[in-house]
Amino acid sequence: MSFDKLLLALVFIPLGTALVAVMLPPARRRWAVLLGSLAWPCFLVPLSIAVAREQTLTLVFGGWSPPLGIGWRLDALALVVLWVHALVGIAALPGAWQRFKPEETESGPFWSLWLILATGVNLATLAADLFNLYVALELTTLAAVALIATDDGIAALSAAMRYLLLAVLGSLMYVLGVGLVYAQTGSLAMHQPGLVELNNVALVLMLTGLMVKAAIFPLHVWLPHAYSNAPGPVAAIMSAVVGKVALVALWRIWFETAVDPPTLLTNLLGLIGAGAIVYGALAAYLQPRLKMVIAYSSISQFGFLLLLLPLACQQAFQGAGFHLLAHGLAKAAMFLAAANIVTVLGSDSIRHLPGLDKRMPLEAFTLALAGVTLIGLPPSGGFTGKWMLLSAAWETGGWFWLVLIVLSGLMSAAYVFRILALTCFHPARRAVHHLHPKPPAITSLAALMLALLAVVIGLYPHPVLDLLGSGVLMDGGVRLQSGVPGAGP
Amino acid sequence: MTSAIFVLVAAAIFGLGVHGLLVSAHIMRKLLALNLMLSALFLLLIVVPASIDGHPDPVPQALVLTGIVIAVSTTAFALALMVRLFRKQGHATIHPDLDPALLGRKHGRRTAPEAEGERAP
Amino acid sequence: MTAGVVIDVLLGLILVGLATQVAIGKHLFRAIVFYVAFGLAMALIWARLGAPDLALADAAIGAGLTGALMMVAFRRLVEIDPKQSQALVTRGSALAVVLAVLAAGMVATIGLTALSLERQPGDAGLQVLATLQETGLGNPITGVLLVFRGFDTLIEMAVLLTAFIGSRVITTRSRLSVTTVSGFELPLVRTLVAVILPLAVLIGMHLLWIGSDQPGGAFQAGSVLAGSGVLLLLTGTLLPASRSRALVRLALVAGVGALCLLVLAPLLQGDGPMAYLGRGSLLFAETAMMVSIAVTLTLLFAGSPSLKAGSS
Repeated sequence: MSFDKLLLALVFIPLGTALVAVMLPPARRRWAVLLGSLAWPCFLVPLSIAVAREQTLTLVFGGWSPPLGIGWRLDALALVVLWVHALVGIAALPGAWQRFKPEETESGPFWSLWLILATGVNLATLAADLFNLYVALELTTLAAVALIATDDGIAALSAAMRYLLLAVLGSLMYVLGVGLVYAQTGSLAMHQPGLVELNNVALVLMLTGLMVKAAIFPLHVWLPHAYSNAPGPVAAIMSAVVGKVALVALWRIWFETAVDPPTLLTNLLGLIGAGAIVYGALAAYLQPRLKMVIAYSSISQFGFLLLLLPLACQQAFQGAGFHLLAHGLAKAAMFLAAANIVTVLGSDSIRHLPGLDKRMPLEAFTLALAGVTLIGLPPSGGFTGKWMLLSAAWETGGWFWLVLIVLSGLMSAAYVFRILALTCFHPARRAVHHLHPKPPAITSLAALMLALLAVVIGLYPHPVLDLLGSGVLMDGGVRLQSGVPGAGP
Repeated sequence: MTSAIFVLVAAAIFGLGVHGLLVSAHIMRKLLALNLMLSALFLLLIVVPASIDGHPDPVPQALVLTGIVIAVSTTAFALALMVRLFRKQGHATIHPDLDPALLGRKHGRRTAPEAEGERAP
Repeated sequence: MTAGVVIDVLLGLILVGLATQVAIGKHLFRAIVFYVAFGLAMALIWARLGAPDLALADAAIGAGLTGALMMVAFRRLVEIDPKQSQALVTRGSALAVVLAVLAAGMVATIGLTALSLERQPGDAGLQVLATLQETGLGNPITGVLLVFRGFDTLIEMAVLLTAFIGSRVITTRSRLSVTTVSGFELPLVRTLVAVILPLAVLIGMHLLWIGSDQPGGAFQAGSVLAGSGVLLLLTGTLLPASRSRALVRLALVAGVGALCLLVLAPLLQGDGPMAYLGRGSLLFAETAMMVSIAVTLTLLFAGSPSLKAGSS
């Protein structure tokens, strides 16, 4: 049995168990949920070995190679996304389990959607076909919107609605771009050898569509409400991977599909990234609610991932990939900790934070550790990612980007320390009148493990960096390439 | 010639959809407008690629069929969401403020009680 | 030649006229009715463009079922609060007009530029037609949907299922009255149902059967059946039920499940995923898809997890 067929497990285990979860009576549903959430991450171990050895695994459906059929591709970048997804998914499970008990009849839809979301994210990561990516993103978005709506408040429902409307608009633009690509090349494969004319219009349409889905400033308006009103475990998955898969797709289209995009567009996208970094950090600083601070911080951190486009060298690629990993783990840890804080305090208003370090030391510690990664202090994973981006800017002579990255560290420090200062050093130690019972310790520990992991990968960055470095081939010193089915050697 | 005419038709419908999306606050109106825009998109997907033997290319046709089913699925879900939202808040519109950061702290306090909906089960 | 152009222009004008009514008509209900008409005009255009598969699908799904779903949602709004349901908070502005004109101009420019380029038939499309014989199918679109890009179709069925599960999340909490959809008890309607229903089932089966060689297939068949499901709900022959049944749940997952089998079964023989197993396997998958589409869309219309027989 060859490794490439193992790829099927990543999509068909969660999808199959989602179908089984629909069929099973509530009492036996938990087995489907456990299997669907825990079995597919096991396959990442052999797949990682295979990617380390062969760099890229490909799979073609029905033996019809592109442009006729659909292909999948697993390379180092996809592997990083899948690992973030696996780790965050497992860590979010206890919290979700506790809030939506699988044996209760009414939580049935939640678990089917949870498994479908996992299916969609994995599929969108593997897709090497422009239209297959679209259906995968639709599946992901629809499941995510429905999961946000499981919180029945007006805020969550309108957040879900806004997200849905904007996502439809985004996919509309994306598909229009895909249609233009097909009209020129007659192929829907992501790797497009012959795309010449109208290239930029199609490119801009596809990128804009994906930027809506990835919530890149200024197309981010759905994100703060959606992340901050979703149930904690859902927010964790969403912030760690749902936006990221659209962003990774954006990278792929930029580096694989587009042929020689104009410098103007490159710089424009870099500036949009810069705008996102600054705006997100400022907005995060002003927020009155903890979850809003974390949500706006995502907008800021997503900006870094866009800096890969102007920097465009191997080091930048390693840095951006590493940042994606570190940020995904840290941000999910924060959302999980915030969910526990809301459960106990009944609110996530930062006015209630003073004294938290006494009442909920694990959560306070998680927030602090994850905050270290967000700021990018050594030795955290966030430091490694930003350091690689910084040195890429240094080596390519991008002084603007260099200053921006340094400044952004300070700005992240501002909003992180605002939270930490209130939590640990505020003199008031304001008493909250009514404390709800604490959630089980395993939910706190799960969040803490993610935050710790985000620091540990900073201590031992080499396996991941080597993997990312080996998976990317330099082509002419500027363009990045990675293997795609049907793309030849 | 036929292609050019229908490109113009699609453009007009797309514009009407954009207009509908912008001017109407009612969610169902927005959904109607989005569906118009989707129809325009489907028309473009069929008309723009070159036809083969007088028939539209089968691949975009299949894509559009897929798109139609996805569109009806999304619309059905969005309608259910809208009915629920209407029942809860009494009007079928979304809060007009796009970005809470622009409103700063005041907004956060105002919506805090309902926004912090995550209670112990 | 010129007659053709006249027909094209006429059809186009009708479509744009209907779209105008949908986008800026005064009353919401009227806009929905015009949307249904728009879908039917769209079907005419598909037929005119030589895409009968799309014509069938758009008439059944685009116009029929989307329209029915919108109308029942509208009716629910009216039931909850008759005054607010139509409340139109329109912010008619010059800016919106400018943006709309800009968007239309942009789309027209992109489209016309794309047309003016030297266009060759797409590689994928040509390969589909060249390879179709290997599959023994006669309809290239069925070939793309179920054989060459069958995996897209699998995910698309999963999207339909997700939409259903998602609306279950929302509607389990709001009790939708059973009377929302059943209402009229006219003798003529009964007779109409007695005639139309068997006909719809026959048409559905026919569309499914011929779909491999001629226009039609699981989508069209499923939506025709869903249309008759809606009719049965409207006449009270079928009623929404709140207790979900295993058979209904099986029908919901059948389409995705059958396509999953199509992907995974060849692995047992040592072939690659979704290796072509012959027309029999396609007929199996299409039947399952038809059932799933029909049941899912009917249930989305009913707003309930299951159905039961009415007291007729």
